[in-house]
Amino acid sequence: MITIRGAFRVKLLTAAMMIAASLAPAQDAAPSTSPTQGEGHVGPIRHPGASSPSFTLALHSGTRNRNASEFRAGSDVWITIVEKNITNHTIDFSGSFSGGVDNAFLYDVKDEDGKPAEQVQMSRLESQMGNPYWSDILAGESEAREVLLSQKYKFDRPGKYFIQVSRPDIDFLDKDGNRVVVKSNIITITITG
Amino acid sequence: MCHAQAGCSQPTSATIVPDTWYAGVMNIVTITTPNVNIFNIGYYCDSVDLTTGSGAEIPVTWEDISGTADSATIGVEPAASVPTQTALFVLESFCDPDANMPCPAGTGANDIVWKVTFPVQIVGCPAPAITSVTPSGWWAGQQQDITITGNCFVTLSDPSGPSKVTVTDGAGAVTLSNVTVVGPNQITATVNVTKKAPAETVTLKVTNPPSGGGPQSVTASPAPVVLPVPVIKWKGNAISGDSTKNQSVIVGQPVELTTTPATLPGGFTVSKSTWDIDGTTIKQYQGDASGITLQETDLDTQNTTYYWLYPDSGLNVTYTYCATDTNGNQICTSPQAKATYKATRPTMTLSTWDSKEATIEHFTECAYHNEKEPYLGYGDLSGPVLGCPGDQEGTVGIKLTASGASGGKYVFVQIVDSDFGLYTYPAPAGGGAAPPPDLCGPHAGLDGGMPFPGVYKDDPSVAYDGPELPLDIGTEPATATRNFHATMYLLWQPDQLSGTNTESIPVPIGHQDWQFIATAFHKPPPGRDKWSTSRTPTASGDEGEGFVPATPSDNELYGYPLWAHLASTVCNVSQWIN
Repeated sequence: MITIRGAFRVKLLTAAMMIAASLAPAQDAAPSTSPTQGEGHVGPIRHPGASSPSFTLALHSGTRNRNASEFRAGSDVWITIVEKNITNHTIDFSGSFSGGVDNAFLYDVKDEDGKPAEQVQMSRLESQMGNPYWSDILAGESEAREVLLSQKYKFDRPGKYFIQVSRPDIDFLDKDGNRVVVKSNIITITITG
Repeated sequence: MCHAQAGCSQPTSATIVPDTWYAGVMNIVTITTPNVNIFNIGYYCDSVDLTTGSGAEIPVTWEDISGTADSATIGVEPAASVPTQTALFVLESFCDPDANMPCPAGTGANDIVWKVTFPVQIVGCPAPAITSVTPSGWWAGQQQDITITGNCFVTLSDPSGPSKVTVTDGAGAVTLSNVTVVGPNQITATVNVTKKAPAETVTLKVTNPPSGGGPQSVTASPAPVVLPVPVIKWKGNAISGDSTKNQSVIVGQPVELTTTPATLPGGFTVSKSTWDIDGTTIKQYQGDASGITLQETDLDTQNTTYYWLYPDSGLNVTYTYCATDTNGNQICTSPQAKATYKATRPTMTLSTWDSKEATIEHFTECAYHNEKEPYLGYGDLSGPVLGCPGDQEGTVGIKLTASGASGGKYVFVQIVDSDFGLYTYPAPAGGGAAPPPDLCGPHAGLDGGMPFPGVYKDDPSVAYDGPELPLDIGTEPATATRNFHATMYLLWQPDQLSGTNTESIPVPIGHQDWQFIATAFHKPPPGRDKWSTSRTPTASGDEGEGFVPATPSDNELYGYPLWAHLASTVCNVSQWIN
């Protein structure tokens, strides 16, 4: 059996490439405009006016292929979020990744004392440098998203941690027009020494 | 006859042990002649006799004769057909002047000068006995030589001989030829088994000719076993042997093969299986965001399940097995079962649409009073800053479209090969050196997740991407460069094979390298929104090679993309690369 945990391709930026980029002459900036339909157009899928949540969230620890609820301190801590479309139409499943974490979800991690777990210090630059993505979920179907939670939270102290994720529903708004937040179940993981 | 030389004493007495000899076996007998070695130089016997009570010779086989000071050892084997009786064992010596063996007074040449007889009890063979048949497993469709070992077999030289050997089996598939009784303890023969013989036991019988009463026989136990030609089965049907025809399967669909025989009679077991499968196959592929696990095909099990990864025809699949008997003897000369496959898949490719736009995008920062923040982007997007609620929309930088497939689904996997964000700073207005640049990267790894998340499920043949780089980072850079290199891998997972509950797996189709290299320039005087992009478009959806089809030798995972972790961001402050 072959397991890959350490191989990846890297292309290094050469000094020549950096210098060439910096010497290119500037041109006047074109102001960004609202996107129009056409080739390469993307955007969230909206079905406004929903009277109930569009999806459910189920959370488990580990990845899709490996359930795990115990992790060694300092090691990778994975969670898997399964979002199920409970409507009869396609719903949005867009988001973005920055700092290795999916920003489409909100994370609530507490330690054994009920206190919020310590987060990994990330510069504003690191948190904003990422990539958006655009996706959806077909009616009645589910999609999974694996999150490396240890990119966002420090799990270097042994003990139990309680995790819940949530996501604002783009189509289901409260009376004030804010997106209703759908929450997942709460799971428990154990960090060992 | 024993020869005595002048001057040597004659034995005055003699004894033999034992005095009961068994027909059909070699009996070791010791003759003791006190003070005289009758096989010494002075005395030697070149023959001994075993006779009936009336003097007729009894057929017997003698082994080497040797002696010491006062005893001699001989081996004697009465023929298997000799019945139970009391016999006489005779030792004689004679004189021969011509051979320097002078005769005592009163005797002439070749006269018996010394004689002793011993009554011995002969126990006749009760019946033939079989101790083993080797080999005891006989391959269908083959001819093989066998050896039957036992006792009391009657040879051709015996007046009543030889013993007869017969085989019977339920399927009428086994015949014997070349039967030879080599000796009372061994019979050889050739066994012929038809190709379609089933797994079954065979009754092998040795029958001796009549001796006094009726014929006596013995049946081999444990019984020999027919070892059938193996058969490969797929979806419950035989696909090897006479029913061989080209089989067809789609790459990525499971090929679940079983074999017969699964069990064997007579205590035999299928002890070793060997598969030989052409082409590139794996037992299982699993990929998730944490990494990849790939299992090699089992080639030593009775049944095996695998997937072909690449299309080809004339893919031979062969199977052989070993059989082990109850004594642990393994027979590994199995005939071969062979099936032939054609593995197919649609011809697919990946094309790119490149916006060729490196634009200054403006996103709303939720943490700063909803101010618009400038970004260097691939494409032209608007919306919230990454991490703020809501979604960006507009025109992406690159769109990758797969085409050519049907009966399955595309699986996109993007690997970030390298990703650098570099910020340079202007020299202070009052003079002095410019601050060192800030660098973010490299960010190599799996981009987003497995599969690549940027795909709409209602149009799953297209993946979208549009990296962006923040320009307002708290300080005011002179330039901001993003150098992003990625490889989009196209996999394809066929629909589940009908009639099976085993899922198909994605297989490698190929990859497309692409890049986004652009620089934004901060026009003086410094200002948060005075940015422009480089004139020369360096955004490119194609690094030059275009779509590269996958091959089994691409890497140690037969062309699958490799990753050890997610691509992530690490920014080192004030780090300069020369």
